[in-house]
Amino acid sequence: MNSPMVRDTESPLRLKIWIKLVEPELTPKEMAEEVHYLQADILDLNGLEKTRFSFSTISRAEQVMRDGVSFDLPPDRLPALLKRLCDRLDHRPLNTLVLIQYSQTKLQIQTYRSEDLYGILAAAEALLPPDSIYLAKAEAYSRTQGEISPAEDAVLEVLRQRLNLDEAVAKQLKAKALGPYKTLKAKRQRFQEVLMVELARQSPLADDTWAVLQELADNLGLPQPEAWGIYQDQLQQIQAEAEAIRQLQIAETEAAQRRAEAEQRQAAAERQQGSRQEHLDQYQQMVRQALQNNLYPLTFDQGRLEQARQIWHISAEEASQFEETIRSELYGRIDSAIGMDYSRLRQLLWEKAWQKADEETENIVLKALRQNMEPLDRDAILQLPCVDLSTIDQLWSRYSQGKFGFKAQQQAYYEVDRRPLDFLQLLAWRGNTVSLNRGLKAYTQLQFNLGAPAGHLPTWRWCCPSLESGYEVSDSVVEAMFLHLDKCFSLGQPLPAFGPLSRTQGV
Amino acid sequence: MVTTSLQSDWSLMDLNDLLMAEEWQAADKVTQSLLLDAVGQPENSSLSPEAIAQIPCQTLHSINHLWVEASRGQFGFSVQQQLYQALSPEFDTTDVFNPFNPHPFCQAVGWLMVGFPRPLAFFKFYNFLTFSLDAPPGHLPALWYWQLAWQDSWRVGGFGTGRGAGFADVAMLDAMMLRLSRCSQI
Repeated sequence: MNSPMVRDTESPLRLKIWIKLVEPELTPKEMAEEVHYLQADILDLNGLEKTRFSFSTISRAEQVMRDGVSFDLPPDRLPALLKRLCDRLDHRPLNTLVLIQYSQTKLQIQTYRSEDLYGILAAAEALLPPDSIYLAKAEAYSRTQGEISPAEDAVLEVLRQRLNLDEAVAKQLKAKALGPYKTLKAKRQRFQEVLMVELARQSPLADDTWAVLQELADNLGLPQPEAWGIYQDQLQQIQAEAEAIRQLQIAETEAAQRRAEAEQRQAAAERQQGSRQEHLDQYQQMVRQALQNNLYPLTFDQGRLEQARQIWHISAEEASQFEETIRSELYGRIDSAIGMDYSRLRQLLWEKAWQKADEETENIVLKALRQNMEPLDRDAILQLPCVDLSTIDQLWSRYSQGKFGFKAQQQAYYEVDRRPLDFLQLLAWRGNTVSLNRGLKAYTQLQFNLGAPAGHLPTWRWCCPSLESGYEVSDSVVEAMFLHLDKCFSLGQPLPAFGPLSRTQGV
Repeated sequence: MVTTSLQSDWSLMDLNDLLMAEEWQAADKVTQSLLLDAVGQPENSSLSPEAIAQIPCQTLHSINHLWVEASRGQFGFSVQQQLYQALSPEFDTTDVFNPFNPHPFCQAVGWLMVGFPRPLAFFKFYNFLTFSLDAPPGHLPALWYWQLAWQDSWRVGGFGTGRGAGFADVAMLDAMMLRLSRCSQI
């Protein structure tokens, strides 16, 4: 701590004190103890805690030992010091030499009686210029409390009167003692300002910086505990602020991290979505390839598809849906309004198994409309759903390049102006009526190949009770069938303006 | 169509009893009654292809089941249908209306008269059918085919007493087989 020394050089208001024990009887050990106690007593005094001592020595019987101390003393502390020394003498009357020096003036006394020693006080005070005593007192007050309290003010007033100082001068001195910052509050504020600037540069402060600030506190007249308190408060505040900022930063970092994670997740989900779509596309491509030449995937392709399906996490339902969609695209749709399954019919037609396809057509139609598989009559025919008729027609037409199917039959019917018998003959379902068996043909005599006349297939065997004794379609069935087909599909050509025989006959 | 007004005196229970007793001829007669009853025709009338086409599948299934069970697979509609289908490729369809061209099925089940040197195209008289398990598979039931109306009997060359001595008539046979085939799709 160098601040008192700095202050020494600045302030002339210093008394130099020498105290020496003049007791030849004392043993060196006792002497050392006494000097030690003396030192301790002085340090014990208020405002003298930081006193620095020099020691005087004496050489006795070829032995060097300490016999006294010298130190600087603030003038206002002189009465206290003398009183303490008197107390010491009362306690143990040792012959003591006390020398007080102010500037060039010295005052010396050697006594073992306290009364003598105390008598020197007035003389000592007279040594000093009255204003310096007043100033020293004011400074002392100012330093200890940071400002001058009313009680201290009263003491200073008494002192002023005793010193016979002019009131204006006393006021000036008091202001000087207080420094530019009169009140504790102002000092605190100033110290805090400087402290803040320092703390802004480094926090916490380095030791030497703190030392400089302590010096500033001294110079401001701000008590050290106050300065320390302010420093700690500020430090705490700064740390709290730093902590708050740190928390904020952590929160921000976490939020940013969360945002980044969310973005990552979304990106991953999008990627997955993207790759899922890719997988689905790829899978569908595989299905398409597998179905290119086969209505149903070969065993080998089935294995590959199943593997791909599992790798790409495609559900079995989804996979079969893809397969059916693509199959419908490639081989014809098999929609039904009444839940009929046309896949077997499609397969048979794809295989060009015409007769079996014809049997399957009957099977579907009878199942659709008849609980008991009885042949269809006129009324039942009218109940065939158009969707299903369209599906059947579309399948037959597709695999015969338009030769077979209901539309081909409808076309033939228009060509013969809606005459049922001519229609049957045009389709080669019936021969010459004047020949044996009225031109009826056994079902197995029909042509189940593409060489057959247009519209020859599918047959309407679903209206026949027996087939081998003659595939016979009645006029009323023909009429009912076309009445219904006309309702379901328009061939894109106007119907004959005047209903031919069939119309008037049939209905 | 099936109506309830014409209730047969016979039931599936009776048929079952007769079959269990191996009373084959009586069982054939009850079978015919049940079939006629199922399509709303009086007893002793005869079935037509159109009528056969309307026999409820359930009736055919039930009757067939009893015959197959009792004969341990020797008799019954399903036995006949299997034979008919198996032999159809051998049938000359270009000559389907020739009365001297019976369906090979007729010979296989032993329904044709036996002459020399080969089976004739004429059908046996009903009473000369074999009403025992010695008969060929599919031999029975037969009355559904034999029982013809008087005029139909004459038409097929019989003597007004049913199928006996008559020529082949593919319509009835085919109608029953087609009916059985359609019913088997359910």
